[in-house]
Amino acid sequence: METKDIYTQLADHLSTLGMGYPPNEDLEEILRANFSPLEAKVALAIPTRVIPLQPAGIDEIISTVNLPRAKLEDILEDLSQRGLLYSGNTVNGGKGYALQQVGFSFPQTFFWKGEDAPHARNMANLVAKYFNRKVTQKAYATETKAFRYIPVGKTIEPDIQAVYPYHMMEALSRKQPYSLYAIALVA
Amino acid sequence: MIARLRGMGCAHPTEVCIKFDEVAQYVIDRKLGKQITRGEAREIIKQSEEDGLVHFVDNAIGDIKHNCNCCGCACWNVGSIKRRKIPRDALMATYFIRKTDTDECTGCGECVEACPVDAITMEGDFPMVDEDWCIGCGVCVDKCSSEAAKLKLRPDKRGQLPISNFRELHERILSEGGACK
Repeated sequence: METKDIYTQLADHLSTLGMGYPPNEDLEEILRANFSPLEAKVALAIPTRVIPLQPAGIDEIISTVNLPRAKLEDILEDLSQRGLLYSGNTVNGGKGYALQQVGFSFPQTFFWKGEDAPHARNMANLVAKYFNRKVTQKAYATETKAFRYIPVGKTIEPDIQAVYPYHMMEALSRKQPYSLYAIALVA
Repeated sequence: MIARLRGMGCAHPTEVCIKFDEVAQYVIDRKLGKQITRGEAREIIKQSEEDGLVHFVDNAIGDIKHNCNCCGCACWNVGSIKRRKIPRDALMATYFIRKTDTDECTGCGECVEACPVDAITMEGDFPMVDEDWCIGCGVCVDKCSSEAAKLKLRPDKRGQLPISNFRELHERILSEGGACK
């Protein structure tokens, strides 16, 4: 039986995320330009039926990939350093990794630094080719939308402001108790 | 950045993608962006409004992780709507719609110029809003000097609210089958 190309497998895997990547040859070209075959194999071991930004621990990932633990840890960390995986704490507090989901970090991580470098330029062209009208629409075709437009300043009527303060960007920026803020460049 | 890297950028600011809490930590740790203070974040949001940019956030009430501020020239989502490539409701949730108080409107046309998705045209003395394409961002309201432009909750969205928090939002998206079902 013929085995699917590793990048076709990875594209299929990424399509099963909640904010999944519509699979096609253009996506495979992006994956090929960023993941070695071994890195793609590691990415295939990371679960997809999880919410964005929910990392899986090393123990969970290693259970589905045949690699020494130290080697796996090196690959995961390197992928995360390159923005190809999200990393953070698991629910148990240990270090973990997650696949990047569309709209949160894919394809944004290629561009957040604002670098005008050959890889960023290559990604700009490949991403523009991939995210055509059909793919963009498909990638955001969730029944419940992941994002919402939120009115600027105090542009909604006072009675609505009182009932729905979360519909005001100003209220959100003033009242939400965030502990840390970061700024990046738009994709 | 994609547009700029491909030689098609615009003059709008690009350092306007704000991350909160654990996403901020990731962005800082990986040197994908830089840490800012709460005051600096608020200043970026304020400046974005002055520049006529559209805010968007996670479709949740609390525990929001991202805020981006986009123009209609280069942004993949606002630009797609401006160019009428993708229907308004296909990409993001839109809870508001622009209305005009014709008693207050002076017919100056400032809102026509301000609209990031070109959804307003002058029809005689008054601006006419294309309600199929208005994204309810409020940019036109902010620029209206006569206070005639107003945002109203979309009648067809009445009773529909953002999901209570980020986790519930994405658990629902998963339970519905996700984007590529």
